[in-house]
Amino acid sequence: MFTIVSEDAFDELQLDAGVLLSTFDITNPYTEPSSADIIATTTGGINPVCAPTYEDLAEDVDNVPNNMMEFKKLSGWDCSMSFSSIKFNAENIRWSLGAADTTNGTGYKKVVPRRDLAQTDFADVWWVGDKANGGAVAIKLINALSTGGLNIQTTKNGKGTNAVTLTGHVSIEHQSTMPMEFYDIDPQSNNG
Amino acid sequence: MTARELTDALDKFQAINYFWNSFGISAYEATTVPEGANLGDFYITYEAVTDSLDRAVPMSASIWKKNTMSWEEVSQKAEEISDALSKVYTVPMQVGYLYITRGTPFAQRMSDEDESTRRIYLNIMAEYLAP
Repeated sequence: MFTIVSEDAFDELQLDAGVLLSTFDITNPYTEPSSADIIATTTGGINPVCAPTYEDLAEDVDNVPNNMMEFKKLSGWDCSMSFSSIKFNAENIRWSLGAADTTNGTGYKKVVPRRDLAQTDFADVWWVGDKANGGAVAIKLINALSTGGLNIQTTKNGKGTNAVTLTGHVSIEHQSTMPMEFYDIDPQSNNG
Repeated sequence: MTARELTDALDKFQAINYFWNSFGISAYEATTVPEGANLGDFYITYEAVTDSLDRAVPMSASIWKKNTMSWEEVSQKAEEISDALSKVYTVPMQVGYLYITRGTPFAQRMSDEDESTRRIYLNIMAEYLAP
């Protein structure tokens, strides 16, 4: 009797790896991204995570059971995107280092880690993926910074990969804006 | 009219037929073609296999071009299908979707007894996002 699914159960499946973009117009989502906006060529998919951090204020109070909801406090959100990039150029190395600068030489570009973090090292990153029904889902990682640094693995007879973890950040200018936003986008025929 | 409205009466076999017939030339299920039938000069034959959710099924097809010594047209058609599958390609069905991706290897040139026939053999993977 209960071995049944709803008829629309399969409309909302997410398919394929999606793409990482430096900019995305949510009001005009079905414009094909330009190559310049695609920040990485990835392998193995993309792993966005947005996990809350809770404190139990009564954890050390006698006779109060753990996880009493009245004492639960949300202290923040840890939001990140992890992926393996196979694109190796100066720009990808720079932003995977996080705090780094690029200088141009004759026939080469030089990337060096910087001693101090700059506010310009943070930038929004979007992940956008297709859904089975022709729609899309998008995630915006706000004020993203590569916190995992550069982590390259080469392979004999194979492609080199760079494991990257981008972490979103709250800004002092928008302290109530948490570092990740989610968008469920209608199929193109229903959109605009 | 949306893709869902166009195809929402399709069952799994009809969805496969819809996919192979969406590239501008006629496509026929190989098992339904009578021996010696005249299908024209340029067509597709395909096999049809179904399953249910979470099991991707390998399937094959052939693009045929008769009375030519050139690979150009069959190669272009294979490229067109490849381009379509480089993006997410789904066909809405009565319940759920048919989700098609490229198989491995995707395209292979084949010889034929008739030297004036050009044929490319295609492999795809089909997943039925449906019960």
